[in-house]
Amino acid sequence: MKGSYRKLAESSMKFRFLPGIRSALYLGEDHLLLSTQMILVERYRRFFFRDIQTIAAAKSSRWIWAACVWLVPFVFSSLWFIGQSWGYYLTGGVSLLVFGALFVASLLAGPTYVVEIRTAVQRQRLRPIERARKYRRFCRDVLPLILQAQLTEPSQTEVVT
Amino acid sequence: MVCGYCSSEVTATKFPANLRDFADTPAEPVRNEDSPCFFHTTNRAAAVCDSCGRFLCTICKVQTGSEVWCPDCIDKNRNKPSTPQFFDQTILFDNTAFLLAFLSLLSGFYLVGGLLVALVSIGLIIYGWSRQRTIVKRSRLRFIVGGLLAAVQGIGWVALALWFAHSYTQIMQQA
Repeated sequence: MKGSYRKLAESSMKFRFLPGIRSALYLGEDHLLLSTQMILVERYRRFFFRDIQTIAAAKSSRWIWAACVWLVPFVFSSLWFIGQSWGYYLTGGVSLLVFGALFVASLLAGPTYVVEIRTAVQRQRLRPIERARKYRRFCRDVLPLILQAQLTEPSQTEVVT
Repeated sequence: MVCGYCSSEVTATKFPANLRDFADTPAEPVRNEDSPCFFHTTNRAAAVCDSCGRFLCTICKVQTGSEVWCPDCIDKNRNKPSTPQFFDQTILFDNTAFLLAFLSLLSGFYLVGGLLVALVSIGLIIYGWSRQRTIVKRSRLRFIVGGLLAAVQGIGWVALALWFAHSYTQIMQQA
């Protein structure tokens, strides 16, 4: 069973280090598996291809705020240079480098969406694919599988933009 | 389309299942020669449970992949290793052991009960090593890191206790 799942996406780097809010999306033979880690317990939700009714994605501005989380300590890191010794310079340089890299990485990850999957009995946010690149990859790889499972022509699917 | 509430751009992909009426296969009433459902004796059986062989109507049959199950069998097999398709959650012994050891250090509880915490963490690691049943791949690295942390913690606590005892004896002798 373990070998039958392929990981599609995982929550972003900063959430990966916090054990309470990790989540990952896996692709099974005939379903998607959303695994959410709640500190000491891992919970699973399955979405069978034949039951998926809608996948909706709304553009959000969260990515700008996420980048600002790293921008603030980046700016404050420059205060280390007020102290005029090599120790301060080194600390300031390292923190500028770390927070600067995290800021750039956050921007490069691209815009965010709020993605929801809906079946007849449940509605769930798919947090692991809420970055634009991951969402596009998900659409490219998984949507045809859902269509195939529902035994209809792709033209019968309605994409509303 | 644009959300009427937050004005954000929304893209929705609707699948054929969206048009499906879930009441389109109502359970048919049982007729003269028909076998009735085990749970609803007035309904005609439409499937057989692959686990226990009971006749099931369309209300009772639950399909997972190519198998048909009855609600009773799902409930009985929910936490059995042989039926991972029904796992809905699992306890993460590795995280528990690691966090226990780490938080005791962070909170300062280590000074009082460090040895106890280390023993509990190691116990959890030994117990959970073969019993942690995640249905997705998960490395054993957390077990190893948690075990090492707990071992170092335990040895450190014993060394600290011995050092205190030795210092105390010396002070008493000097006094």
